[in-house]
Amino acid sequence: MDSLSDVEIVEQFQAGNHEEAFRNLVEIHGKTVYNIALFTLNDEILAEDATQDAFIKIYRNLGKFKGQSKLSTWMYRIVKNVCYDYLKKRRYAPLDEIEEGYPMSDDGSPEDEVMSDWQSRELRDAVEQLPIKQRLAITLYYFKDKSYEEVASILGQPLNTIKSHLHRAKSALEKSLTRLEGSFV
Amino acid sequence: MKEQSFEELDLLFSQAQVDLPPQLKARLMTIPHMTSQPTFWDLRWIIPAASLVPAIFWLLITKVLPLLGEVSGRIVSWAEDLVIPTFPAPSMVLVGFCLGITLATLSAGVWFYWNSESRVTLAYGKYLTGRI
Repeated sequence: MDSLSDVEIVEQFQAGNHEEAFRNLVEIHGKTVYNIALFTLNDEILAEDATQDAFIKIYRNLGKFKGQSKLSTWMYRIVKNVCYDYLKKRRYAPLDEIEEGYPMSDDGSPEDEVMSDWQSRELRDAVEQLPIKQRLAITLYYFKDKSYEEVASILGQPLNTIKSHLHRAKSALEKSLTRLEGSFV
Repeated sequence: MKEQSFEELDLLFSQAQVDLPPQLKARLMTIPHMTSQPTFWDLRWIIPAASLVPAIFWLLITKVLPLLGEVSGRIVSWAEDLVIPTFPAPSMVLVGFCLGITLATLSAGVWFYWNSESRVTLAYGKYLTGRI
């Protein structure tokens, strides 16, 4: 069952009130879409472009949305595809590459940098080291209601595969972040 | 698979979320304007349309008036006074310039219209909607 606000947005859009519906969509989902793009791409400029591209595609196709899945699932599939395309364009490592060890970036941060900002960047660097499927799974999981089922639906993969991706990703991230903390003790 | 608690990671991700940058939000808000059909005063169609004006004048002077002139002798003499049958060099430069401007603005207009997702168009959208 879709959340009421999403249903209302679709009704608003299909009733012809495109601008208002789109504004609501950006208000509700904009931050999440941007964070997913930011953590997947680890580049603020690219994340902004990807967010814009995703919303253009959402706007152009919202009129054709049939309600066969949740609006958010449909939307985040578009976001996932856009991020995937951006990663391909950036000529990242092969998309099916499975890395072991997940090395952390050892870039130092200035001592006067704000801690939360520093943590956010380090976390993004750590996420960037994950294989693409794990990266997408973990960003969708953390920024999209922590629902295994929805992540599986968005990525179009079996639930157990997603659980496995997430478990590996979380373990790798914790290992990386612990190593990072250790290096500062 | 052994379930494991990742409380620290949960906390880190919740703290690491960033807000939507205001300039990006403004860009997103222009999407409905820029992906809709252009309105009457929209430059996306005025530019290509305006670019046709010199071409229309050129056609009128070089083709239409002589054609009319063939129909009526009086019009011929009037048109011959008006139209330069063989352009002297400065007029050729002017005609070439008009054609060049026409082609350049026409292609710019077509590009502008079909690339409504580009940064340039969205920047124009921000200006047009007065949101920035």
